[in-house]
Amino acid sequence: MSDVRVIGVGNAYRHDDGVGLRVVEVARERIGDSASVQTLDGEPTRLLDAWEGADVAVIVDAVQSGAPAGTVHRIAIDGDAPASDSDAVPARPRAASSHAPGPGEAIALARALGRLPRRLVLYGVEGVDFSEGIGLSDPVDEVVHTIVASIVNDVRSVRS
Amino acid sequence: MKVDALARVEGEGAMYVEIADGAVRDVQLQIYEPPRFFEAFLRGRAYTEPPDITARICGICPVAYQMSSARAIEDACGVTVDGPLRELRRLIYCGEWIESHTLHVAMLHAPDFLGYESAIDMAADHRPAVERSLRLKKAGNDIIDLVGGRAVHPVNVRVGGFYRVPTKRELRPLAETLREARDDAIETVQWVAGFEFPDFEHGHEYVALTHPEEYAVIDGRVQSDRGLDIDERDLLEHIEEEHVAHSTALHAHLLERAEYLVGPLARYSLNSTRLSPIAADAARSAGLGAECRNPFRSIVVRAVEVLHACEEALDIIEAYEPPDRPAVDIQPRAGVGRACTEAPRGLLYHRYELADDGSILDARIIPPTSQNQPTIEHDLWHFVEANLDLDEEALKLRSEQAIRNYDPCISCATHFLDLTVREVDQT
Repeated sequence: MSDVRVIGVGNAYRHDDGVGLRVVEVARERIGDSASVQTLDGEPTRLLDAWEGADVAVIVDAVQSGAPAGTVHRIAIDGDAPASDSDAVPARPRAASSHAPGPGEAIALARALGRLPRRLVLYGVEGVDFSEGIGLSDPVDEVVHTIVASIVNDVRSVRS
Repeated sequence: MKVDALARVEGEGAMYVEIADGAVRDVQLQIYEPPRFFEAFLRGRAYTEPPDITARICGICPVAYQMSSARAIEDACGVTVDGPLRELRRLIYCGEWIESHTLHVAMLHAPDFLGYESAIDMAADHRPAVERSLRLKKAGNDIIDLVGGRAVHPVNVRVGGFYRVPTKRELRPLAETLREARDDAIETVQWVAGFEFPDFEHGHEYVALTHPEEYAVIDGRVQSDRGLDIDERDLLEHIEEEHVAHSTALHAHLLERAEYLVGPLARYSLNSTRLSPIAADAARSAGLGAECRNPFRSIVVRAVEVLHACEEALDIIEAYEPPDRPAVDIQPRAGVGRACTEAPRGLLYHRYELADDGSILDARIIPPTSQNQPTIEHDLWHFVEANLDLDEEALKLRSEQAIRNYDPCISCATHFLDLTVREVDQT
């Protein structure tokens, strides 16, 4: 059976930076035992540890690229293939974590060290409010269930 | 003129340097300070909550926040946690030192010395060193995972001790991991000792916790290399804080003294005689004396502290006898409690005022980076002044490296680190 891991990245005390945590919290119930679910702060080497040995890793994090709030970027990467422009996960625009480096750096580092999972799906959710405080902004909150549904599909497609 | 964002510092911040007529006119580290938000957030909460809430201030040093907050609240309630519970606290703290320092040494600071833009670029040419560092960092992770319940934002820490304590049998595999980590740590010291270090020394007052028998981490007296010697609870009374226009953080100075430095350089210089045997040997072989005043060599001091933490953790595990109960019983009472511990980046002070029902009336947190902020600015000023002959790009890189010497924990203390160098043309 494939080892599938769903990883929410962010800081719940920085409003929209907490979207990754919120998504996996909602997704946890719907995924059940078919994938392991965890939350991280985005520090790249922890991400490397978190997906070590996984067949498929699904990462959810907030991003800031200038797109409208609530826009969801979905990027799928084949871990066995060499890096190409088409799957370039931008190290910048970076994940909007309160820690500067994020999943983009983690993916680049993992590729340099040959530590990518077989398949990696990254959901980047465009945030708007990264000030201190809890709760997501409306446009971000509205897309949480859409992302959860998409993640459930990702997990099912591996299983089927 | 604005230059690239200053990456490879935990979190975010901004540095502004103004140069006019070939002289430095202004240096500002612009800081936004989340602890202020958390201080307000804590008011009205129960005395049991600060370890979990303040752990969220920093993803890299949650254990430090948990330990300082738990001990400060225990102080308010008139309780001292010692014996095996104190040893377990020292053990989980070793995990955080190993993890945090290794991350900084290998992934954030080493690329400066080896001429790479980032650890990602460095990884291709220095793969064994990067792999070794990842293993070492993971060993720190494993300690926090086992003692703290999980590696990120540990959940097993509480006021009075822990929710559950490990058995001797559970700690055994960790000892095996740590023996390998100790070898990796020795090699890491040797690796960084071979880097080239700019000729630069500072004369700042060094402030750190000290303990008669230990390389102080969890408690002790606050001492300096110039005669300061106070109870850890009295730190706030000896600090003068000043608001500066460019920062929402407070600049800390010692009363009737100047700026001061906390963190690895200060700790090492005040405590080097209490290093574990292998770490002491490694420090000597790496060319460190009894004290270290070159901030660029802080990378060597951090590597030595990682080695010390591996040995210390092994000693704790070997001598471990589980306590009778996982936590000391605590009855809240009205009062004020204060405590310091040594976060990886230096002295971390917490103060709580409790009502008689245990609710928090007031919270005060002084993180290491806001204590070091004036010192970092001071150093950068002199460093830039001494290197004005460099072209702008080289100066910028060297300045970034000079800031990284202090491993400023920006998620604790600042908001967005951009380096801006402004050349003022006065003709």
